[in-house]
Amino acid sequence: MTDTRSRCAQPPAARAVGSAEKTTQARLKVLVAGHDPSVVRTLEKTIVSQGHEVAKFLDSDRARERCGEEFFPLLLLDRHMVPVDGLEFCRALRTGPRGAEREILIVTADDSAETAHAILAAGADDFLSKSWPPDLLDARLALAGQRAAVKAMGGEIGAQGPIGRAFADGVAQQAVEESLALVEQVKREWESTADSLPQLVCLLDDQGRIIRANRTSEAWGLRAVTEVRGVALHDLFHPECRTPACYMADVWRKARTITAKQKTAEWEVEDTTLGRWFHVEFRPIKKRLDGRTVVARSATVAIFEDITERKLLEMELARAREQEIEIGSKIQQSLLIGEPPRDLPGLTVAAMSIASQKIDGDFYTFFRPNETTLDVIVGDVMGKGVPAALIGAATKNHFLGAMSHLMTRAAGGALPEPREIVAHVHAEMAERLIQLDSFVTLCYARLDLEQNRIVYVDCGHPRTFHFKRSRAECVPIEGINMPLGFTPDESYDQVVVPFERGDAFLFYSDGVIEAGQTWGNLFGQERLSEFFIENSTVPPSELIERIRTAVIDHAGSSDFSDDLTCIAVRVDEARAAATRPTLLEITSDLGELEKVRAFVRSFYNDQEDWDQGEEEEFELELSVNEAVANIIKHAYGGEPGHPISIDAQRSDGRIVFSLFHKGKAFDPDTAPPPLFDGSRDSGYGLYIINQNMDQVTYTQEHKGRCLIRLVKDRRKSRKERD
Amino acid sequence: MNCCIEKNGTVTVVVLPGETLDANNSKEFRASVDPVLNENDRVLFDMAGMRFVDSSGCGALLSCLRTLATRGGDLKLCNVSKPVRVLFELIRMHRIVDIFNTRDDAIRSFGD
Repeated sequence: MTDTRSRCAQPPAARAVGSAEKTTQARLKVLVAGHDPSVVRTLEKTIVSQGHEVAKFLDSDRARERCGEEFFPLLLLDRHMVPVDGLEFCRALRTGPRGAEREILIVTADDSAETAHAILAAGADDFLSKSWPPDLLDARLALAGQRAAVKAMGGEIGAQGPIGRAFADGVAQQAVEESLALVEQVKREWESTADSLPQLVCLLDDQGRIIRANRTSEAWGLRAVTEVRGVALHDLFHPECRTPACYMADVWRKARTITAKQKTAEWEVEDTTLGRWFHVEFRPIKKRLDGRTVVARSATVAIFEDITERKLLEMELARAREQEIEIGSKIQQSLLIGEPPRDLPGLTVAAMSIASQKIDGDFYTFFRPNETTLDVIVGDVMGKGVPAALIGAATKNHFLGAMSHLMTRAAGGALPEPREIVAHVHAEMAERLIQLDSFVTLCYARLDLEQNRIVYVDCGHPRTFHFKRSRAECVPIEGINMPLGFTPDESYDQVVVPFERGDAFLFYSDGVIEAGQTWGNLFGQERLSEFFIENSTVPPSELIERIRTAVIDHAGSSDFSDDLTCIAVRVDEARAAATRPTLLEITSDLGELEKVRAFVRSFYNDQEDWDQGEEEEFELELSVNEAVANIIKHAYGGEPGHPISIDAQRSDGRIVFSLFHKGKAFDPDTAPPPLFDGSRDSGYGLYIINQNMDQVTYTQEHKGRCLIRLVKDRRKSRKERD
Repeated sequence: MNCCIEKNGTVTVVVLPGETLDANNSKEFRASVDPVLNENDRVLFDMAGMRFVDSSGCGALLSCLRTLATRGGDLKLCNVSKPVRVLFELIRMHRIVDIFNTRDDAIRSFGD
């Protein structure tokens, strides 16, 4: 660029030309060759009148000889000449030295399109017809003179383009100088822009060798920008590296295949040699611009960004996040979730809570202030992560505290009303919650079996559903209170709703109704209430399980963004004081199998309206026996003393045994099929269970608890038998 | 676990003790019956009192059969309750072990 600068510094030569008389042009040496002297003569006159010099010839040999000695910017050649005709002469000139710098016109008597075409094909710039009137000849020659002058001055600059015309007008030189200065300025701006980028930018040829690089190469201590030319990208980064499998060489190989398809390739790579992380981007350089082919030496531009700091932060953040989720999950499992009561006469309760990936602070708990009352508290802390989980745990604790505080103060141990309990907790927590910029939605429900009514305080929680069996409808219980800690002075109202035997209640968190892939496709309250009606006759544990499955089906995944909490409470048909317990708790000891079988038999025999049979009894007994033996032997590895509980449920056509344990989860798909050749003593257990029961599922629940469900579905069995 | 053993000609009849043969007592049963299997070739298990057998119990019975069979002996079963027999059929045991309704039928089947 040095010479550009010095050219700028010189006084522009063109200005002198431009300042002279406008019509005056550079004096050109014009060669005129033709076989007809009168034609040659006419041309000479016209040319001289336009201020140029003429060298004329009547045969082509001598004209060609002269051309070898002297450069003529403008040549007029008659098409018909001897020994070499005008077209051949023209072709020879074009392909000779400085061939493109001449303006060549062919003189012809025949101005048909065909001839004109042949003339242009020979490389001539124009033709002159002998049939033209003198003024037209004059004008065409003047134009040719201008073009020749421009060619002589500026080589390839097109005479028809703006610059060419400007030259012809005699004012262009200045413009050219200015634009060259501008080009230089733009180029330097680009260079300094490229140099001030934090990224390393390299132009690469098609072999991955560097053509240019910006100064980041120096800033990163790689190589001086003057020494990068021809260096392979790999060698720029790893001059010492001799490993053929080095990732950097690999990166270039991959990038080349991708950029060859005119696509951009980018990766994040860890450079263990330099101990850095890079974001690497390879972009193909476009070979066509505005429909014209651009000849570029560079094939690819490679951009390296040092992302080490970001990457380290990200990794640290991910570790912290993982740890937080783990802590939150532990808090949820141990502090937020209460065990539903299993042996409450008159009520059947089932609950589940599935922790989402981001801990939500869903919580629930149950109180049994007396034999005929069950209090259910279901809440959800606004916010996520450990803080939400801790607030949830604190809220749960406050309720416990409020309950005992109010009970001891009350005369004669009277039960405090739900609204009093909520108000008490609110008074204790509201200020802290507001300070923490959090709040808690919850509902406090008291199921009173003495008066057959539910007393309900709602604090901005999703509406609890009340299934009314007599009308087979599902009614939401409405409340109007604000969430806990939403405003400092909230007073709490309770609603009282009567219920009947066979009614059921469904409590849930927003995670259930907001499960779904898109906003327009959430599970929704309506779907949940319909689902509740459809499944209103199944036992609560079964209902919860079905809801879980339906929500997972709907969301298309079991990874939820919100915690999923759901509690179902059924008011039993008859206060069945006479029925035997439907829950058996044992330890992992094979000696307990006898107890398990007795439990199964007695439960079966209690189903008086069930058409019983000796074989079916044996099938149930055997299946539960096998499943429990498997839990003891495999889930607990034969270790005694671990808990196993068996819950038996019965609905219209189904008997369901739910076996809970906290041992190793079992995947039935991994068990080998049994061999029937008498060569093995074991391996029949699963087969026996599967043959005897209509549905067998293995699931892992919260708190590391595993559930094995064995279902005898009479409707299904009958159908299959038919 | 004490098995009641009766000799009937060349056939040794073992009356299985207790009402159940399950994962809890199958090992004990197998050990207690081992001397009988080692000293006799023709063994009949009378399962008259046996109300419940599970897969481990079946495994123990099959193990007894294998012990005898390797020596050229044979094991047969009789007085199997209906549900237990259904279980044997479920795991195809009836194809490997001969099962008879009565003790006499079983003893006769050993022949001489």
